[in-house]
Amino acid sequence: MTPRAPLLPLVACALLLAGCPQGPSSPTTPGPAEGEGPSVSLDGLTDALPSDGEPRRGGTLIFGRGADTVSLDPADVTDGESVKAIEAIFDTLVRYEAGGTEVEPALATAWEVSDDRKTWTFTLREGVKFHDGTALDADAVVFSFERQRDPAHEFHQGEFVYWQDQFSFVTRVSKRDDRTVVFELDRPFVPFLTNLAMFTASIVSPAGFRVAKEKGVSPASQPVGTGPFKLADWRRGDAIVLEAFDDHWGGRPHLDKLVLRTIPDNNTRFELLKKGDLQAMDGLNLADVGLAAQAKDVTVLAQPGMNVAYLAFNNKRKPFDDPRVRQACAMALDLDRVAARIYYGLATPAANPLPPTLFGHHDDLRPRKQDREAAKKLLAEAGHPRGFKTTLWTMTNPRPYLPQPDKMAQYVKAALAQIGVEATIVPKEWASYLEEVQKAEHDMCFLGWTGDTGDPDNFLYVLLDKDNARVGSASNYSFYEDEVVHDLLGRARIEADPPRREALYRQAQEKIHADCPMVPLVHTTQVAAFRSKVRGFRLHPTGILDFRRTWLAE
Amino acid sequence: MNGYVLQRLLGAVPVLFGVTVLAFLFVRMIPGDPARNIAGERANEEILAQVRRVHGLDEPLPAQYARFLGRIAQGDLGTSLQTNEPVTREIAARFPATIELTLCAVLLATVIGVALGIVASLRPGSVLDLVTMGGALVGVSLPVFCLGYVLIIAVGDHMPYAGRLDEGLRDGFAPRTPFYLVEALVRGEWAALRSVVAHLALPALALSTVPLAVVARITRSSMLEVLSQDYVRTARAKGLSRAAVVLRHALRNATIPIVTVLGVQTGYLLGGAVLTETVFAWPGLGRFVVTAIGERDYPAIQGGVLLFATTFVLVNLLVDVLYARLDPRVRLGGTS
Repeated sequence: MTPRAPLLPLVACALLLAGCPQGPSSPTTPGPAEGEGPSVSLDGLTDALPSDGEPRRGGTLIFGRGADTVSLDPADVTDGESVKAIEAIFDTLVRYEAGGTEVEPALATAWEVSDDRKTWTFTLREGVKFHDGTALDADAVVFSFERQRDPAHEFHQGEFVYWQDQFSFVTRVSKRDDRTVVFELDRPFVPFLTNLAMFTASIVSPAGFRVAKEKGVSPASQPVGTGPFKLADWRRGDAIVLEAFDDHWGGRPHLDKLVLRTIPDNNTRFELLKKGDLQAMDGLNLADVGLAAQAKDVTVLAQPGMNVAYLAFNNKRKPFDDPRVRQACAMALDLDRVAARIYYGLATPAANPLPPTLFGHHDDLRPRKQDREAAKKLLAEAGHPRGFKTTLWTMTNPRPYLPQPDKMAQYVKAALAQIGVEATIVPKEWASYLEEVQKAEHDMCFLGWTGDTGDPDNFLYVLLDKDNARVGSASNYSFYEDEVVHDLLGRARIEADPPRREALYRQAQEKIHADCPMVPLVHTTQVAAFRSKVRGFRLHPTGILDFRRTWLAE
Repeated sequence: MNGYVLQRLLGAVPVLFGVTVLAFLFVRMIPGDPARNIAGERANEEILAQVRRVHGLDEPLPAQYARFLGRIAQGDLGTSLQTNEPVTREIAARFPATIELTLCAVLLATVIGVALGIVASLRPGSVLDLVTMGGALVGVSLPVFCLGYVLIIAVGDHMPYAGRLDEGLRDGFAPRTPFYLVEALVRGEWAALRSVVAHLALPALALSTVPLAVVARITRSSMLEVLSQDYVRTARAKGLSRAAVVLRHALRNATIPIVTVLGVQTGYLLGGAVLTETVFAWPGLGRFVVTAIGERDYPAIQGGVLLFATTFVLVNLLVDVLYARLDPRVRLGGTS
């Protein structure tokens, strides 16, 4: 019995039922055991619903998901379920193009950058209204950013994690005139424009904040944006009801109402979709995707996700400080099998930490081929002819990139045993997992990352730069501290010329692939299911749900 | 009577005080850092320090506890670390759903359970008895998530099984309180009432199986005991109808153990029926507290635990008061 044993029943309940805030994935239906997973064919699945025909105005679309929104303050959320509602209520200065991560004008119609790339000037769109009727002007934009940046700001209430992570180089945001806003940076930072398309850079109504303050309520429960939908009702734990905003600058959405309903159980949610009580859902059990694709009046959309699941070696600890040991362990794994059996085919084996859909991905690198003999030889060269004992840490809660952590751990343990590496699985509950792996006490651990911006910096710098390998607060859980990679990633952050930037990222990926500080396992496929009468919707790599042009056919 | 109630309520204060201490300490003994959970994967040490400062998590434990207690005195359970909303508001948004579901389940359990128990007790050892008690055993043993799926698959095409009210009826009904059932009744909104009852039916049925089975078994054994007593024979002998004997004379005296069990079961159910809430997407309190545990949302867990403890104390008090009503021999207040 571990000291934690008395908590296990509670923990088990939490795992079973609450799932994780980032992704609805309550594992109530265990899939077939490892070795018998029915692989789903992605052939014939597209990433977009048809959008032919005359859009029909009106109707309510009910979208089922696994957990409720936590907060509707766009600058102060970190969970995916909050973002889904925020994207509908707010707009940003620039936004991602449909289906991709290139940016296009939104609330800003034009922008220019100074020669030293440290001053960005944005021209705002005319005639944009907030849901409260006030007009969008430079003051609102300055308010939206300065309240995050300036600790002395009247409305600096929250943690603003993303600001510190993505915008800490912004020294000031100011108004030049009513239609012009200037951002001053302390250094050139290429991903800046892409970052501005993120939910965290949403433009909020200052009047909305003042009204909330007068009423003594949190602005996070009464959001006022310029987005295509406005908040009508938020029944906590149950549903968020959004109504079409008639005065949206891009035109009123076709739908009258968009309801985001919390249906915690994956099976119940799927039944409701089949019954027609829901028009759309995410968080299908992997094993149900095939069923959904065959179900009557249901259409399944799939798209390579902007994420990665990986097995981190602790490069600080013996024997994983030796690259040969890491390479040998990587060669023990068969990633095709992982993708087919543990993800039921709803994943792509990974060669790089960077997903293949992203700018800068090195297409010529391949996952290491499974080769046990070569692996054993490498181990012998490294001084471990008879293998060694080690630990393999895993979270017990499913994550969006790792829906079956227990099966994955069992597979890796079994595969490593084949080359003489005897790994003991150390399961940890998610709430304490990150904290513990940050202390660098693991030998190997599973983790993953879902990208926010579609910029390679958001993956490579976060996961593998030595800046992020500080014990106690790491996001580089491999504790890989390579000077060459650090230098390449640092230069890529300020390199404005795309081909040269891409070359830097390719070099970094080659070095990472050779050093093998971690094994990128798979990129998980993003899946959502719709009633077949829904039209005009397309999956987005960032997971944004864009219902502006969605309608319901007769 | 009033004096007794007051005395009991005062007596509950030290109990609840003890609960605050335990709840406060226990949540902090679970491994895991709430600041890390709030700030997410990407937070660095500065952000974590800031989060701890903002929420007072960096203060010494006695200071944190004193603040917690001071707030309770003002009816404030603190601010949820996750949502930044007052915990009282989060609870108020969910507890009514839990109360309505619990009361419906308890009502079902009482009516059906008592009826089955009586039927079984009248002919102990008969086929009817065996079937009823066998069914009760299954009811106690059947996991709610299993029964829930069976119900969904069997009747889900004809019955709603998620949420509290038909989305299409909401605008017309426009509930002003979170007590839909009561409000629809009081306002005479019959269409809404039908929808609310239909939405309650499956989760309440699933939730009622365990208390129903317990009540049926207790009723049977309690009735068997009473039915063998002399006064029942006397009642029969003086020519009262069988129904009158069973329902008026025997049942009333058999009720005390039944009320005791119902009280305990109601207390449990009001603590949130997590599995039922999950399978039937019922927006109640149980899931909120379980999620709060997973997220290490200390104020939310403390608030939830305190509420459950208070509920239990109140339900127990109600049960004791009911004893006095049911059995004139029970004198409340102690000193006579």
